Amino acid sequence: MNNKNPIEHLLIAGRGFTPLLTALFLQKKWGSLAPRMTLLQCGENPDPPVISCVSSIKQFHKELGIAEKDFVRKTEASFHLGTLYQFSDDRPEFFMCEAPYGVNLRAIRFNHWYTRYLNAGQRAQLDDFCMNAQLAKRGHFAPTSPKPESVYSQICYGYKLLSERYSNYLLAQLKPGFDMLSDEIQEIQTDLNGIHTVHFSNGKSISADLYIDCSRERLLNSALTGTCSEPSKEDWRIEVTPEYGLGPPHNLLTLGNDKLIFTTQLHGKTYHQEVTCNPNQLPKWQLDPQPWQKNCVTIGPATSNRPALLIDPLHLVASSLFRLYTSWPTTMDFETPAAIYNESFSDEWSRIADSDSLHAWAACNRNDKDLTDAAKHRMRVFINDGRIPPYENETMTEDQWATLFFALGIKPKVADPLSEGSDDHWLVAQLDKLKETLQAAAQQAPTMEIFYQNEVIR
Amino acid sequence: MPEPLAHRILIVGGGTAGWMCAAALSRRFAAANLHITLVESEQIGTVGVGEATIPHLRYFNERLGFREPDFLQATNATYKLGIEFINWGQVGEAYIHPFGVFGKDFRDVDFHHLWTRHRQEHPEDSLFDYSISVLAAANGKFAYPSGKKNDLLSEYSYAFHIDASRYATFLRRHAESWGVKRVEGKITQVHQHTDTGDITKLTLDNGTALEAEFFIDCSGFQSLLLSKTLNTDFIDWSHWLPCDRAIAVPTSSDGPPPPYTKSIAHSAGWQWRIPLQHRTGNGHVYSSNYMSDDEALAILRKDLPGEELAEPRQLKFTAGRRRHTWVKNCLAVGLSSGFLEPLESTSIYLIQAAIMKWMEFFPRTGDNQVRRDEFNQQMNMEYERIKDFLILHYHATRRADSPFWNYCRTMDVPESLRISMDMFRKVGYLKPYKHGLFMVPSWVAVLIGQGIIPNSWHPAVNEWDADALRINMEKLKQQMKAAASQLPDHLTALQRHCTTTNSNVEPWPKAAMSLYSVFS
Ligand SMILES: Cc1cc2nc3c(=O)[nH]c(=O)nc-3n(C[C@H](O)[C@H](O)[C@H](O)COP(=O)(O)OP(=O)(O)OC[C@H]3O[C@@H](n4cnc5c(N)ncnc54)[C@H](O)[C@@H]3O)c2cc1C
Repeated sequence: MNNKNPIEHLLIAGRGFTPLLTALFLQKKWGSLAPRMTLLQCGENPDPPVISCVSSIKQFHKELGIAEKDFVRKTEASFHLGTLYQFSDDRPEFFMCEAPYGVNLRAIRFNHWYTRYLNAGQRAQLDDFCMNAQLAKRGHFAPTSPKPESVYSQICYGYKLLSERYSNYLLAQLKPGFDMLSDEIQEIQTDLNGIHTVHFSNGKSISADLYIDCSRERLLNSALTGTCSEPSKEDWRIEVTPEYGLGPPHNLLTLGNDKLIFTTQLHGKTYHQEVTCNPNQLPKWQLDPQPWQKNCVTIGPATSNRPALLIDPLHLVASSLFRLYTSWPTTMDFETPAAIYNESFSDEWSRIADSDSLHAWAACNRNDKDLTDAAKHRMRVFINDGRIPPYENETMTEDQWATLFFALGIKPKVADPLSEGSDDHWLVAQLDKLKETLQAAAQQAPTMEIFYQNEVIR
Repeated sequence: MPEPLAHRILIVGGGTAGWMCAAALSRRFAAANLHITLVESEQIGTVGVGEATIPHLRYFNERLGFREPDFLQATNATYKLGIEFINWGQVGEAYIHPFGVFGKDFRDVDFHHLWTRHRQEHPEDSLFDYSISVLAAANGKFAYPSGKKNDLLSEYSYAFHIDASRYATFLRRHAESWGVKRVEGKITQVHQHTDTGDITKLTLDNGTALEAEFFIDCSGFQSLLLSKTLNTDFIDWSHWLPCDRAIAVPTSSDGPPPPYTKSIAHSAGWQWRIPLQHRTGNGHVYSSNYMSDDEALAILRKDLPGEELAEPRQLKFTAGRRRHTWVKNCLAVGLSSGFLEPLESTSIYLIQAAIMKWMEFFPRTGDNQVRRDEFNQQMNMEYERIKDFLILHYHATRRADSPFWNYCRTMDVPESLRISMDMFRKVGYLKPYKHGLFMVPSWVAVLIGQGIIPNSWHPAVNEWDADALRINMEKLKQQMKAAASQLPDHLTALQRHCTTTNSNVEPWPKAAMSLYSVFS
């Protein structure tokens, strides 16, 4: 039977923000029952130089007790409204974000009305109906309004920030009482239960109840298994571009010629990451089938042999940490918790693989064989009826999938049949009005530079 | 231009399924000018049972623009807050599966973990004392859930017990006023296109021919189009859900109607008791492998709440579903598409789900393959998830007093169910699905209600020492008890709400597609 927290001592290995987030999250979540933690700084720092994260980070920060103002000031984070997709061919650019596109009318999703709007001969991009897109295209920014009747309540934002500053900030948030080591691992002694003891070259050693491996090289987990190949390294190119100042409130993604190029501008620098997605060059995606093995859980960069292209790393770490908490061992028998964790992990990554494959598809030859079956399924149903089939463990909402399809130039053949009885004039007037309202509101909002000056720096 | 919608729709059957389809289509597609005809045969009649519902029906009614008081009055309805299961886990035990949640979650950990730990030292404590719907139901109380989020009185939903034939009449009245044409007659022949196999027309016993582009088979167990014409095979689940017969008989009521359904397990099945305003519906569902018809009738008659108002009727069925519910130009809705036995009142829900999904994937004049496949896949998922939950009721038992229960207790169950039960037993974990009907609170109710208590709990609840936990649990229990006791009696609430005049009528809450809340 349970005795307080069955995990009394935790060893967290790795460098960068993942082990720090792990420690902070577990400290907060467990409160007085938090296990004793040892942070072992080991391996290379796997963090990208800059992180752009979606709005889920705000909820996560709440869990961590992080106040937004303090965080933004101390990390000099700026605000992130979404990503502008640009295509190397002549397709029009599109602003992709988590905020709503349009509003549901007569209990029918907006994308159906938009399809009808196009069928009625009107010309507008779907992102013309999105508050985030309208703000970003003007370089403006406003925070989310708590009043549901305000158009600004639709704004959904995350942050852009430098990984190193984030790590320093997290370290300062950690409550004392943990040990920090940077000793070199010499040997990992295992037994039937998993890792028994980690021996260091200086002669010291540590035994813990549970080991969390956040290292890119899987320094702990590799002692138990060799199931997953070495994670690839990310290639970043950094340019000094003081002329862009703070940078825009969004990122850029160029798709085409078999690659995706991510561009982030922040505080006078431009960061480029180029990812090959030619299926012939890309290593076949290997997920760790069992990130939780015996008494060792792998979290972060080493859980797959290449990173998720479109999901930000903080979101993934946060979701792994919630999963770890939910499946936390109730006794010293780890078999059931590991099974719960591993199944939920692989469900989530199957869904991530779907959206990744769709981007790779768009950047390469739009060859259907590059898509996962579930991505093909969604695309087929979307083209046919403008609907997104239900999947468990989705990382994107139905609306986000529909938007992603529109972003990649994939449009449904028909709209919701229930929308078909409505009159075209009524529909066009409704959508035109919405577009104008959003444009006017976006125009009124301050530029991001001014907002930052007034609200953050001052 | 998009392909036009199929325009001429013929609905075969005028039971609950047929009239729900007719009303929904004529109302929701009012602007599309569909030609909807419904053919039914008075000579054949309807199954005439199906009187307990789940909260989703409120959403269906709301979408059709029905005022809840009109519906209550037209169907002689009473409210339903859940189902009481008597003698299921063991003879002499009872619990209510409520349309609501249990207790308050703690640090993102489901409440049943707190309770599991508390129970360690207080084995007499009942999880069901931490549910507003259970407390209200058990004390014969009812009120609309409050509109204030996080209020104890907001965390439940409700459904109805209805007179099924009156509901069909109510729907028919509206559907006809919305343009549905009703044809009386018995279908004697179904014609198919020689090349495509599509159904082209039906001939009635009086020689009338009825043509349409699309056919909806609501012909009940006969499955006249989907099975008899299009030969869609049946997936038989009777090895998991072994009841295959029912005897139904209405009786007078023996007192004020309780706001819940009763399901009383017997030696080879179970008995329902569904209270309406003017009578009580009763029936005994049993397995013909383990009990004779005479014995089943005798058991039912021994335990009736009032005088029999009609001759007992026997119904035969096999639990299972058709492999596909939309085949060629025919959609089957209701009993013609499958039947999972009436234990959790899921049939009318499945009718509603089929109609609502199908309206999203409405057939067009061209190729419908993709939408048909998608619709079928989504309906199959609905059936599969409900199936596991129903099997759980039979399997999670300690009863060893009859061959029937020995069979159910020891049978091999689907792998998905076996894993769910195993994880719950070991660590109290249940997979949080987003899609499907029965979610974590329902699984917790049946598992714990039938005696499966987790061996361990999430350690987050150890934050409280035993005394503090006891004090907090006691406080919550008292708050819930006090809140539930303030609610009006079921009959008083019913009389107050069941009025067709608009003045002074208490506004009823908005409906949601959820078993546990009136908030979407
Ligand atoms: C014992 C039992 C208990 C139940 N309890 C519940 C419950 O509590 N809750 C719940 O949700 N569901 C319950 N159900 C299910 C519920 O009764 C049905 O889902 C519901 O009544 C719908 O039935 P139906 O319309 O599909 O079929 P039916 O009511 O059988 O209607 C069939 C229609 O088809 C017509 N028809 C058939 N053949 C022909 C022909 N050749 N020509 C012309 N017309 C024809 C008939 O005239 C009739 O109008 C129960 C079912 C059973 C068997």
